Formats: sequence, structure tokens, C-alpha cells
Amino acid sequence: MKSLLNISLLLIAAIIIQSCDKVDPPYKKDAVVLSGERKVLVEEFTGHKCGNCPRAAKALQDLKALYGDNLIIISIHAGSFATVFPPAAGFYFYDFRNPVSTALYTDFGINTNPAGMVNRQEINGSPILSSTKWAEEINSVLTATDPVPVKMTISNDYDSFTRQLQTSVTTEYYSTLSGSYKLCVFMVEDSIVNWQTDYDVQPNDVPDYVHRDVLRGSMNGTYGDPVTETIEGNIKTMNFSAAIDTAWNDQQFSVVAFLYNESTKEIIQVEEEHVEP
Amino acid sequence: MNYFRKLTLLAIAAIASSYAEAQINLPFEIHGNFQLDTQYYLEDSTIGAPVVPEKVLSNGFGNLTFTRGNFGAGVRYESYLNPLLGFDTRYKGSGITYRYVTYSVNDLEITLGNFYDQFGSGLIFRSYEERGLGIDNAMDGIRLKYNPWKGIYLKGFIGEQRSYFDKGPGIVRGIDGEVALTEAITSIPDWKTKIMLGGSAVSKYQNSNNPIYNIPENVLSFATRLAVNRGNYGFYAEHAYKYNDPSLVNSTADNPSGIYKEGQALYLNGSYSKKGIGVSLSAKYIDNMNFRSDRDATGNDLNLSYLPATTKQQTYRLATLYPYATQPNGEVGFQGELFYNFKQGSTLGGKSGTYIALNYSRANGLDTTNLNNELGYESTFFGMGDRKYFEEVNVEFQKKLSKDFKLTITGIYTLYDKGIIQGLGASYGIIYAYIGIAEIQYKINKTNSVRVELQHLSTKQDKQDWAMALIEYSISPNWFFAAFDEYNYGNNDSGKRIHYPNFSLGFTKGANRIALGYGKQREGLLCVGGVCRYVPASNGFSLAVTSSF
Repeated sequence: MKSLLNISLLLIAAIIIQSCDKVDPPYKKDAVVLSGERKVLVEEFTGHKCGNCPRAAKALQDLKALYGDNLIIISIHAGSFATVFPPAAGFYFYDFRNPVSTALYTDFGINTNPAGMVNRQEINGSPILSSTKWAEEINSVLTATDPVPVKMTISNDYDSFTRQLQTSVTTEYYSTLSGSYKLCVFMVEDSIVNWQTDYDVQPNDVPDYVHRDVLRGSMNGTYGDPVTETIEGNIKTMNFSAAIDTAWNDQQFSVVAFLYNESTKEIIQVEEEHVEP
Repeated sequence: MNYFRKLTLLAIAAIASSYAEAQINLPFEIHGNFQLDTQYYLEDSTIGAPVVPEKVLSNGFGNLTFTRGNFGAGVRYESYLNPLLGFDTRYKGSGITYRYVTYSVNDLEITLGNFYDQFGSGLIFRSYEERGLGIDNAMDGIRLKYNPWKGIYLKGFIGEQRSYFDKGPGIVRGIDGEVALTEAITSIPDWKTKIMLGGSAVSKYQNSNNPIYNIPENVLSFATRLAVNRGNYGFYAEHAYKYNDPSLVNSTADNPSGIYKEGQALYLNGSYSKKGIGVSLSAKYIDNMNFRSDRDATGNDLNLSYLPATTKQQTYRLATLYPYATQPNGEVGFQGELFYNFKQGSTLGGKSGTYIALNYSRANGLDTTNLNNELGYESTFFGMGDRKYFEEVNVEFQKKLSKDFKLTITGIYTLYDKGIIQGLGASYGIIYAYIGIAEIQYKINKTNSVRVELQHLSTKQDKQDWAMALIEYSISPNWFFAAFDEYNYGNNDSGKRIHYPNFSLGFTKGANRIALGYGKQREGLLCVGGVCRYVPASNGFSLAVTSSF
């Protein structure tokens, strides 16, 4: 009995000591080439006073370089890291927040930054993922083998004089979607130069940081409009309009539209289209 | 109605008494404890207290354990509706969070279900609970403990770690062996020197589908330790090594999935103590030793390693304003402690003796060279970097002025790199603080005693000067009253010169204790053993009930 136990314990020890994956260079895998109509949306929660956020934002841009147009990014500025100082302070006075950002931040229960959602898919019971999880989930969406159920196209018509934007979103169903779905049409401004805390540079307060893909608002509310007749073969167009605020740069503007399942919150398809001034 | 209520009470009393009777005749022993902390929050924007929509928040739990001979079992119920401010909102909910059975046959002990354990000083594995910090990384799995020979102790386990009301995504396997030489070698039973040797290995598994990096799914760490005791002397050393473990905590701007450098830690402690004198010296080196069962976890979530603190655990209010938090990514630290009792009748001892305690501690960053590749950086073993994270000098002086009158004077100097320690960015700036504390204890008579504290903290940085006064009155064994005020009177911003008053009273009878309080709490870090939790400011009433049987 005793010697058997001794042997078993020795065996367990040997197994545990063998349980190690020592990775040798190259640490990086070969780049995957993706094509296809499936796109993925990453919603990154951030704030200009969040010192760890630039690192996460950079990681996202690295992924964008890899996945190109198949990866669509929105940066959502809200919460305690996005609060502003009075103009007299000389920094962090620019307000990136808007009601849509704040509603998403509150409703999804974000309490740390950076945090992100990949297609609002739940992983281990929560859609909120830390930055090191993003690559894995983006990849799992984009490499899924089941057929893409729907294709979206956006067409923007913008009058730079009146600053009125007319957008139409066409959804073409390759297969029937059961359940109820909603379409959300967000407005995004890219490359806003302003203050940002960045713990990876000295000093930590950066006056000319480039804020990518900032969510400015929605053309149809935080949670969008219901879509009906999500039936195979159906092609449907919905029209939206909004004014581009004069404080926003219409040269760096785009529209992001996504279709999501109302009960699971999961995003089925997403598309982005630049606004041509 | 009244009649009905009386009847119900009678029924409850009858059940309770029959239960109490039954307890004596139970075929096993049953024990339990219970704790409830409830707070009613008031809105207070002057101190920056977050608005609590629920108004009332509460944390509670109860434990039951059953034992008979070699058999033991236990269960714990926890309820957070909703969790108190400063506790992670993922605790929201109620349920059974801990249950186990354990039994031992001959020299083998088997535990099924939840367990807490620790290998050595915890450098590669410590599963524990620290309720005040909201930490509970209990294991759920199977553990074996085996004592094959006198003085030889082996244990092994496999399990998952608790994460709030769920479990982490990783699987943890561990084994530990310890040899107490003096016990094991019976031929020389009269050794004055006691030597203990130990070794352990822990491996965690978490799958990865990272499209860019080859992430190690199995990560192994191992540790060796030695303890030597002879007479009044003691020595302890433990070294830990961890293989490549890229994670969120060691990620950098260039390595968003983490760096592949190995991790190392060394902990040394030497002590000497005899009546009236004690000396302790410790040193630690931590290099990339963040080790968790989930590579994507941060904060206090799913830690496997516990890196011992080498700074003094402060208890006086103002001395807890700038607490040190262990830096798992890298630090070199030292601590020296000395206490001495000047005998009665000696020059310094006077009539009733004098007690003096000195404590010096320090922590620096590592001496590193950036590599600009996936390994991250290179470091010199035990090399001290230029950046000083923390330094503290404590001097404590205690004297009995008469039979009933005791005076304690404490002086503290602290250097505090708040940006590094609290993760607020390296350019936050260093805080230099000087703290003076006087404590007077006076025994009025056999049952009544009073305690007064006067504290002052002076600094030119952060929130500038603070003062604090406390008075505490106890009527043993039942009653306890206290009032204190912390006052940030020196704040450069006159609008932030705020008082933080607190009042509390407690009643203890047998194993039951009830405490009521009202107070304003300043925001800050609450730390135990170098592990910290952020506590937001609050204003409100509190009720705490504890009980055990």
C-alpha cells in the first residue's frame, strides 16, 4: 500500500514537472490571410485619463493592420477616466463623451478600463474582455466556418455645406435569421488629436495623442431600430439622417452599422463606410 | 395577531432549545460562524463618494463545519446584496461558495471539494481568503496529503480556482514535499539544529487560440526552500522560478499579449529573539513573478503566487494613508526590525521598563535592460534599480508611566512613489511624509479603560497635512465606544479641507458581537500583507454582526 502510494506520488510529480510548454522563438505565428464577407466589431471602452488604454488601443491597431477591413473598431469614451477638467487646468478639458457612449458604458456594467467587447459575444458569462483576450476572440469570429447569414452595405450622401448626412443601410439575407434583430447606425470620427495619459511614455501626459475611431453618436439611438423580415433572399434598405456637428471633423468621418440579436445582444454582422465630404 | 406572534416565537424557542439539546447528542461535532456587514450610504459629493442607488449594501456569510474522528465536512453560504462599496461588483449574488469533505486513513488525508493551501511562503502557490480585501481564491478539486515517513510530508492537488461566484478558466496542478531532517533521521535525535528542506512545483493549464502569438498553455513554476532553526536563531530561504508566462499583467506596448521572459523570486529571512530583544532581517527579489491561473486576469483575481510583504503592517489610521503594495512585475526589497526592552531599574528602563522598536524597510525597482523583443527585458539577479518605490523608518517607544497609565510614541518617515505603487503612471511624483503619533492608555478601574490617540501627518505633496484624534472607552467585557476624526486641514485647496468624523459603539456578549457606526470614510488603499484593495470615499451608517458557536 505504502510503496504504491509513494510510486503514485512520484509519478504525479513527474507528470507535473513535464507540464510546461517552453516556447522558443519565433514567438509569433505566421500571419493568417482572411477574406470573406464576415466582419467583426470591437467596442473598446476608454478614457483620456486612462494610462493603460493607449497600450490596448495600439494592440487593436496592430490587429487592424492584420485583419484590414474585416475588423471594425469603435472607441467609447465614458466613465471616470473620461471626465474633464475645467479649461483653466490646461489639459483633459476636451470632452469625448456623449449620451450613447455613457449609456453603453453604464448598461454593460464597465468598471475598469481598458475593456472591450468583441461582437458583444459572451465569454464565460460576460461580454467584457480584457485586452489580451481580444485577438483570440476576433480571430474566432473571423475564422468561423458556418456560412455568413447576412451582408450589409452602407451608402452615405453628405452635403458639406449644410453638414447633413443621409445614410442608407442595405441588408441582404443569405439565410433566414430566427429571433428578433435590431440595426444600429453609429457615427465615428477618426484621429482626434488631444490630451491622453499614457503610462508607456515619459512624461505620462501626452498633449498630441491621436485618438482613433471615437464614437460620436448614433443616427438611431443607443440600441437602434428593429428590423423585420430577416428572411433568406430578402434585401432591405433603411434610411437615416443626421447633422455632423461643426465641432467635428467631417474629413475623418465614417458610419458604422451593425445588426444584433435583441435577446443575446450578439452582433451578427457589421459594416463601415467612410463619409466623403 | 399578537397572539399569533407569541405562538411563533414560542415555536421558534422550542425548536431552538430542542436543537441545543440535540447538539449534545449529535453523532458529530458541529461548529459555525456568521458575519454580516451592512452599510447605509448617504450622498456626499464633497468627499467624492459615489452615489449608491440601492442606498443599503451588505456583505454576509456563514460557515458550518462538521467533524467526527477522521472525517470532516463544511459548507459556506455567502450573500452580497449588493456588495459593499469597494468590493468587486462581480460578487453580486448569493449562494454556496465553499463545500468540502475530508477524511484521513492511516497516513493519507483526502480532501474533495474546496480547500485552501500554501506551499512554503507562497511564492508559487497560496490559495487563501482575505475577506477584508474581497480575496478568495479557494481551490475546487482534489487534494491528497501523505505522511509516508516520520518527518516527511507530501501533498498534491489538482483543481480550479474560485473567481467570485464562478471559477477561473485555468486548471492548476501542484505538488509539494517537505523533509524535517531532525524528525526523519531518528539515529541522531538530539540535534540542536532543526533543518527543514522543501520543494514544490505548480503547473497551470489554460487554452489559447491567440492568432498572433504562440502562447504557452501549460506554465510550470517550481520552488525550493530551506529553514534552519537553532536556539534563538532562525533562518528561512526560498527561491522560485517560473517559465515563460506572457500575460496581461506583464504586457507592454510592444508585446500586447505579454512578454516571454522567465520569472524569479527569492525571499530570505533571518531572525534572533530572546527575552527582551528581537532582531529580524529580510530581503526579497521579485522579477516577473505575477503568476495566475488566468493569464488575462488583473487586480486580485485568480492569483496563484503570493509575494510576501517586507514592509511593516501599519495599524494607526494616518500611517495607513501611504501603504506599500507588492509589485509582482519586479522589485527588490529589504526590511530590518529590532525591538528591545530596557529592564526595570536600568538607566533607560526607569521604574517600569521601556520598550523600543525600530523598523526600516525599502523597495526599489529592478536593474533592467530593454531587449526590444518578445522576451521583454534582461535583469541582473538581485540588482537594485535606481528608482526607489518606497522607504520607511519607524521608531516606536513604549513606557508605562504608572500601573494604570501607558504611553506609546511613534515616529514614521515615508517615501512613497504613488504613481508606481498605485499604478497611476511613473510621472506622478514622489510623496515624502512625516508622521507623529501619541497613544495613551489609561485603566480607570478593573472594568473601565480609556484610550486616546493623537496623530499628525505632514507632507508637501499629494493632499498635504492631516491631523487625527481618537478617543475610545471600553467597559469590559461588554461595551465599547469610540469616536475619531481625521482632518485634512493642510490641503492646498481650501475647499478640500475636510473632516472625516467617525463614531462607533459595540456590544459583545459571549460569542456574539454587534457594532453600530456612523462615519465618513476617506478614499484610499486598504492593504494586508502588501495586497491592496481600493476603497472609495463613503458617508453613512454601518451595522456589523458577528457570531460563532
